[in-house]
Parts: sequence; C-alpha cells; structure tokens
Amino acid sequence: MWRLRVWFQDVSGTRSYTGAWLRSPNETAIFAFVEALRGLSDAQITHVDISRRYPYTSQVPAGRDRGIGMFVQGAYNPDNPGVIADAFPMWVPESEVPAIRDLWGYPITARGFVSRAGYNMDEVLPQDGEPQSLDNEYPDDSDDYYLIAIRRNFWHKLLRDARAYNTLSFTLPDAQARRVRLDIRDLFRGVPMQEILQRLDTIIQLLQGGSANIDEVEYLLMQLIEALGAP
Amino acid sequence: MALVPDPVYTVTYTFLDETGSKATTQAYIRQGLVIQDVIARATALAAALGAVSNAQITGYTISRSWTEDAPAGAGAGSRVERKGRTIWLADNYKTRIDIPSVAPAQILSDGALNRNSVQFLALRAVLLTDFLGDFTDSRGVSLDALAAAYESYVRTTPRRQPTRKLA
Repeated sequence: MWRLRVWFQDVSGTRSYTGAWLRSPNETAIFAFVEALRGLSDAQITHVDISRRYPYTSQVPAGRDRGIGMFVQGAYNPDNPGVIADAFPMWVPESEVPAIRDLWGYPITARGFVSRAGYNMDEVLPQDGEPQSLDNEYPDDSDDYYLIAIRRNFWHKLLRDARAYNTLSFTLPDAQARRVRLDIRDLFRGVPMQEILQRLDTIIQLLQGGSANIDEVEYLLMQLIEALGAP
Repeated sequence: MALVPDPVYTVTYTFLDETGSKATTQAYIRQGLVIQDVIARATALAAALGAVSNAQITGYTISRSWTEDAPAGAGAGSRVERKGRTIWLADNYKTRIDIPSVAPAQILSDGALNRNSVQFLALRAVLLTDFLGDFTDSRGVSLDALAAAYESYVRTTPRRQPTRKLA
C-alpha cells in the first residue's frame, strides 16, 4: 500500500502530519483528500508526500568492510545542452571501481533515470571522458564524468573524498572554484595564513635589502613557528 | 496556492552487509511516467546494483512529493497538537486519520466533530464514495464506514476522550 502524508504547520511553526493509505498513487484522489483536509484544519498545509516500499531479494551479503563505489555524472537541461545544469551522484555500498563502471550507460541513463532536479543525463560510455580518481586531482570542466574510489578501510580517505564529493556537487566552474578554496581554507584551519605570508614578505624584504637585523628576523620566525602550531 | 510536484520520483535502495550494517543510495526517475513503468525501472536498477555490490539489497522505496508554492498561512490560534480524530472502518477493522489543528468551528460543544458540516461531508465523500477503493487501511482493505470523529489532543488518554464520539 502507498503511504500518503500531508504535512501541516500551525501558527507557532510546529509541524505535524496526517497519513492515509492508498491502493495506488492516484493524483486526483490525493489532491481531493488534501483539499478536504484544508477545509477542516486552520493550520497551513506545506507539502505532501507519498511512498511505498518494495521488498527485494538479492544475494546473501558477502562484504563487511564498507568500501563504497561512487560515480558522479553531469546532467543537462535540454534547453541549454552545453552547460552542466546538475550532477547525479550515486553511492553503491560494498562495491569498487571496476564493478561500478558497469553501471554507466545502463541502466542509469538508458532507462530514463534523471538527476535530482529532473535533468537528463547524457549517455556516457565506459572510456568516455576521463575518469578521475580524487587521489590525484580535482576534476575540471573537461571531464565528462567522474569516478570516486573510496579505498576500503581508510577512513581518512573517506573523509577526504567526501569533501571532494561535495566539490563535485557543484559542477559549475564558479561554485567548484569556491569549493576548492574552502577546502584549502579547511586544510589550514587555525593558521592565520595571511599573517604568515605578510611576515614572510617582510623577512624577504629585510634579507634582500641587506639590512637584516638578526634579532628582528629571529623574532619574525618565532612568530611564524608559533602561528604554525609548532611546540 | 497550489501543490507543485517534485520533478522526479525518488527511489531509495537499502543495502545490508554481512555485519548487519545498513546503507542507502538513491536514484531519480522523471515524472510523467505511469507508475508501472516507474516500478519496472526501479526493479531493473535494483538488479544492476545487486550485480555490482557485495551487499544484499533488502528493498527499495519509491516516493514522490508535492510542495505548496504559496501557503495561505496558518490561522490565528492554530495548534497542531489539537487533533480532529477520525476513525474509519475497513471490513470492521479500525484505521485512524487525524486532522492536525482541526478548526474550532468543526467541534461541537460535547467534543465530537460535526459530521454534517460541508467540510466533513467532503472528507467523508473522498474517503468512502468519490474514489471507491482507492483509500484503504494498512492491509489494503477499502474504507467502508465512519466509526468515530472527535476532538483529541496529543496527550489525551482514552479515559479523557469525549463521552460522545459521534455526533
């Protein structure tokens, strides 16, 4: 059975929902039910959702170390096909790169799957574009699709690749660049980089000018060491 | 003021590894397809995912949502904790549908809902006659009668419910 939920919000901002069971996701019936509730309640209706779970029987699980295969694929608005409008990321638990490569082309794109925003994904074939392992570098606009391999049992890699995954969520160049900048900032979190660069500039100027005062250089270097968190 | 559909059906797959840990992944299918096509595509992808993962796929959930684009705003004094509780029968089994923040005008002085109001008759028609067989209980049995309709609060215990539950 399909579970229908109608969400309400009262004047205090508190939310609640009411549910009903449906034999099929009949949109006309759903809207009629919502309108009937609207007449009976003085709270506002904010959204409606419907879902159904289908049990599925597959193989006995054989993995346990939680490796994750993942791909991210560009999606295009038909009205503006030259620009990536959205990205489709998909995680597959207990998988790896050679296996998940089989998902390209079929059935993700060939069977009408789309990105979260509803945009079409291009039919991408294996070996098309340049798969990127994020071990190496951030992807750029020249890549048709991206492959992220999260190594098994390396949680620091998971975190690092998760950060890069966020980068991939913003495939537009501006957003991508901003994400990279934020990542770099994260790497140096707690270290006043601007201050360090200014002090290095000062040291270089002193040395180049030939008027370096040893005490002054030493003082600046000690400040740098302190800023970098050395013991 | 209208319910605007999400552009996609969301399909959420549930995985289980041999330690018992669970994980999910999602895919999206465009709107506009008949539901049988959506189910067929979700099933096909389940098979493909099963082939590339060592985990077990225990099932998938297909969901769809609509968002109110211009909510009218909640009425003054509305509180979702105040429910209009309606009990419906499906082949003598009971199923409940609550109405959050039921409008005070729908409540009679003894705590029962006015089941003869235009608004309540509309709800009754939707559930029992206008879409015959569409609305069911959790077992899939069609709703066929109204058993009770009364005001109730979140913490109302059975002993504190209105004496007369059906106006």
